[in-house]
Amino acid sequence: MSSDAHANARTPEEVVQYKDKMERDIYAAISKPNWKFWAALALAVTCVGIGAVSWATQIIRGLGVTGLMNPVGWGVYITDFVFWVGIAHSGTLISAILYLFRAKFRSRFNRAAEAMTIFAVLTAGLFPLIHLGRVWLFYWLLPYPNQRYLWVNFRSPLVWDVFAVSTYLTVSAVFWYVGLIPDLAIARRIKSGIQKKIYGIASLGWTGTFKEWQHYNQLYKFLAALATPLVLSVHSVVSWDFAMAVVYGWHTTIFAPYFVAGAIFSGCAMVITLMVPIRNIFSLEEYITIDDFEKLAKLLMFTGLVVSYAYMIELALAYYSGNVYEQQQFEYRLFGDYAWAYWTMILCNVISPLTLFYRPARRSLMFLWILSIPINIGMWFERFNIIVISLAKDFDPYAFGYYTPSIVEWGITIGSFGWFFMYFLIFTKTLPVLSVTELKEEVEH
Amino acid sequence: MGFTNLNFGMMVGVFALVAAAVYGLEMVAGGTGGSLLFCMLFFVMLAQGPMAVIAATDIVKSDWAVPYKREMLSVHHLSLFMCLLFVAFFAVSDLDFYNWTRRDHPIPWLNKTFFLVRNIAVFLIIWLVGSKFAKESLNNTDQKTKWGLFFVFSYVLCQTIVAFDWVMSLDYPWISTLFGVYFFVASLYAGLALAAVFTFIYHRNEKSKVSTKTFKKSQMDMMTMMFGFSVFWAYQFFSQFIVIWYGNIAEEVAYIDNRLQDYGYALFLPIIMLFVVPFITLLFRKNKANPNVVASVALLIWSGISLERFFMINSFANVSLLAIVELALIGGVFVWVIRNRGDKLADA
Repeated sequence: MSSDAHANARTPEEVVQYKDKMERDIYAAISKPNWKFWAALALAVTCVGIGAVSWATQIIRGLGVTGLMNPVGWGVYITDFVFWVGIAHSGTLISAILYLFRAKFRSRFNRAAEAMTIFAVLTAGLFPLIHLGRVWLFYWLLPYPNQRYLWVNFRSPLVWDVFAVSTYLTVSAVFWYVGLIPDLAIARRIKSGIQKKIYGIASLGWTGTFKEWQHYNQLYKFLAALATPLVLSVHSVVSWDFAMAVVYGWHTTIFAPYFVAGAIFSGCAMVITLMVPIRNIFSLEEYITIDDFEKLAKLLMFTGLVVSYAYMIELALAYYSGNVYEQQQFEYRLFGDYAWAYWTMILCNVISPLTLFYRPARRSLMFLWILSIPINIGMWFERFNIIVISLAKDFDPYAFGYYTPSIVEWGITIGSFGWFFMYFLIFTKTLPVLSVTELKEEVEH
Repeated sequence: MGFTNLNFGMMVGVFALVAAAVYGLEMVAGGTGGSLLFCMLFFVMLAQGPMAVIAATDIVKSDWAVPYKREMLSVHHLSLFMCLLFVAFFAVSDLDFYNWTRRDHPIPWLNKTFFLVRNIAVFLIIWLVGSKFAKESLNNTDQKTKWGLFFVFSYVLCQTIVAFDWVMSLDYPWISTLFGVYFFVASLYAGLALAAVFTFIYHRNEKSKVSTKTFKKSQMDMMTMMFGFSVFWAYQFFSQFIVIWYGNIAEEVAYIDNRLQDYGYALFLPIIMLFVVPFITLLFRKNKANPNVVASVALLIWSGISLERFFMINSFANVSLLAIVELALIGGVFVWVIRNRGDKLADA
């Protein structure tokens, strides 16, 4: 029975008992980890190790160890960057936008999605550094006073990226932390010893008075309103890294909303990938219902359709424009050297989400979980197709080339997944994965 | 007279009569069809945007648009009217001001007969789907979500065709992949503005239930949505503009540059009308609650969109003063159709 249904069915005393049970169930997840947790963490750390060794190899031997070449100067690293920024999107979408829209199902996913946002941004942030090659010069990206008056090029979308992504990280982290405060206070009450002290410090002395709640609600609403335009701005700026350049396949006006929709699409898929196992492992079936997943599936289906629309428009207008470069670029995508990557994307992002029109598919968690994986793969390929294929077939035949990612690039990509999942696993054992106070509030109203 | 009692044949007859009158006007006045195109671009938003707002709320099962539902859905037959107007437009203009008609074009898409057929087809589709959706939604059946979804598909298709065929192809070979999105977002925005006008009418109508808490809550939600769309419209505008401006490719920038030469900085007036003023006004709760303010903002939004459409087409289509007469004629039909339902809701 869902928390809503429960509230309708029980007396006030039973509601209180139910809320206590809810608290116990959710905080039970923050207990001593079992061997399965350690095994999963070990796997994630191993992947991080693979990534670290690969990166170390690149630092020692230089960017020549990658498959990057002329004309494909942006490859898997930038693909990974865009992919992870995309994953970071649904956190704020689910939290902020759905909060403003008063969509109740958000409270089942928002905590994990917000955490996912932060870890994904942390992962994405690594890639510009990795891509630099000489990572020790990363601070050249930042505007800082220097004797030769060297200044970063503010007209470059790459610099806009630095500001957009760092602002997004800051606001997302604050939004996440503010939402956590009342739950941290509950953890302080439940836990003992050193844990109690840590949760006590982290909860900033929260006592749950009326005045505190009043301020909290105002701040939370304000942060939600602030974070909403950021969802649009960050991925739009990322899209402009490409759209501002005069490269066929990149320079197109639809890129900003198309990237935003794609980001939400992939982010929702990742939330499903993460939350289905969490629901089972931590026995949260009572609080995260099939109905909640169905709503998420509908969101996934909707954003999938938006993305499909963008694919179709790109192709249609390339044909309509009569521009030979534009037409050849898209012919190359469909039938050229990378056709396998293009059709993988179509299969994963256009065809497979159509299954969600079938209601039983939306309500089958196993199906949803399985579907979320090809969607994530498809979204990775979408970025790969945009970046690599456009560069591989530039204006003139002398600038054509074929890029194959090297083992170092794959190693770093695997490392990024390990890095992300490592943080996420640690999160599940240290903080409540559901927003307890919001769920309690729903039970009361 | 309630709409349900309104004879369908009579309504179609009025549609046909007005379409014929508009055709006659254009022919007598020696019009190019440009004025009619301008009017059609305005009214096609009002014929579909309000329904798309309701379809979206039905799909997500939210109830905040319910008090507006009947009026917003009352426009559903007007897509048929738009279809008839399109035929009149085609007959008047023969698409003469579309440069692609003046040569044998290698792209089969740009072909007069196909242009006519596909436009009629999409308008008939949206009319049929819209009628079914309106019926299901008003009866609050289980099917409303499904038909709402179909309506949204046909809405996106129709608005995309309108954007690409009616407007973008005037500038051929200039293209913007965002143009379709830009049009259906503006249309939704215009649909919300219609809700703001209804708000004003409800408040003036003593028979209506304006004092109810539910209506006031709905009004606030609608106006918040309108505020959100002012930002979203600006986002779309900027997304399109920045890529063209930054890319600085001659054949792309010409779209803006030619119009800058024709209209000067007035070209940027729609930004003030569609973003700056609505954003600042609707930021405040008391303004969202004030029917006079929201109706004024709605009129400004309609004017802003119309002005933008004028800038888009006038260099090619030569919009004349005839447009005022046509706006009045077509607008009269819109008001007549909507009123037949509006009264019904007020009595409900």
